[in-house]
Amino acid sequence: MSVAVFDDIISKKIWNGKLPIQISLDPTENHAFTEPIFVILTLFFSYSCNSIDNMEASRCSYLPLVSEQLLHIYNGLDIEIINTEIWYDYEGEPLKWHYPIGLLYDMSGSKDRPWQITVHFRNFPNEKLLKSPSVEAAQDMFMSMMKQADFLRYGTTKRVMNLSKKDQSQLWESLSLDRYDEYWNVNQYLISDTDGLRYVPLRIYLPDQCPVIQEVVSFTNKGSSKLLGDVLNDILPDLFPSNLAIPITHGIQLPLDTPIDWASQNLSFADNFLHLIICKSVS
Amino acid sequence: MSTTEESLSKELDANLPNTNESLQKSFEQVIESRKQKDTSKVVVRFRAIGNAPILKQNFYKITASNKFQTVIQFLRKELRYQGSDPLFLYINSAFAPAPDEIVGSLFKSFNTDGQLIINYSTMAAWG
Repeated sequence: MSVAVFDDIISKKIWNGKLPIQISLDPTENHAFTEPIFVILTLFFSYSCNSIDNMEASRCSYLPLVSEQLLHIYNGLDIEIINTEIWYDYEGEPLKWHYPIGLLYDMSGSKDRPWQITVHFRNFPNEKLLKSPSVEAAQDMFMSMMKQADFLRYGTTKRVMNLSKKDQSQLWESLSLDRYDEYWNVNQYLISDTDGLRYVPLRIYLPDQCPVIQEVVSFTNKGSSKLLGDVLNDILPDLFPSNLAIPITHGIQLPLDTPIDWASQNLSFADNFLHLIICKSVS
Repeated sequence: MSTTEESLSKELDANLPNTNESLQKSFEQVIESRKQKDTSKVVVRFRAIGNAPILKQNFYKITASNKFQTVIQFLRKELRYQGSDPLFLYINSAFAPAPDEIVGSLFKSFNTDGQLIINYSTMAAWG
């Protein structure tokens, strides 16, 4: 059985994957400022509004952390935002605040750079989005995913539960502050064990509001390495193998001969899940 | 090619089925079939933690395609809880799934001996 090697270079590239974003206000919402203005923001977690060229969000991060930056900036401009039910849409479709930003972008099918989304402070779409998009709620959802990943991977959540409170908090904080080393100082305890591997933490997204796919996927095939193509053939035999569809993660098309254990170690998001989008092939 | 070969070739092209269309579903067709709701049922077992009220019946069958939100609302109704009464639900005493996660997926990934164990409490237990 192959032992997946942690690839520090790839892992760092995944962590550092950034998306240029342009956030505009909803012109139908009245604000303290009367004109709808394009607010071009730098979302580097050390915010500053200098240059149009430097506005990026981390693909592994979450929209409530972006909202936190927005609130800082508006407060700095002495603009009071009372309503904290902030939500975003892309072309009219509300964006799920508990999904990583890179996943949202790839799911949207947008090829825009920067990604043009609209922020709203009113009329929170309760039927389409989970309520209360605070940073605390996003952190809770993130930790829930970490525990799910732990349970899938090893059959118990003891690795996450055995972390000190400080270490557990450090996972989220280092994500929100973009501190790769601090994140991995803790996360290495959660994923480096190669004994007792059970199932791959994996979610698959099809277009058009299809239900999210989460199936039981073992790491190996009778002791030998399992490839991404094998996994997709098990779960979506009508699409793999064929030339109809391709798997995408972090904006890249993944080769079907990628070993699934290597992908899980190195291409997962900060929540330790592989999030794969299935797109129609353009042939 | 000779003219007979050419005309035969054209005739074959016109009459042979297009393999892509007839033998294989299109991408869109596969997506449509994935949208079909899974009407199978999965067994869910509720377990009270701490001071949470105990249900008379704690096994239920729930349709796999339901979101976890449905389970939350169902339990609240069974306990006759008002909207503001705190109630926290966990899977396997470990984590609280997002309300939009699908019961069928949770069952596949986390069931123990054919039951999805859902712990509930009136206070936050496992974060």
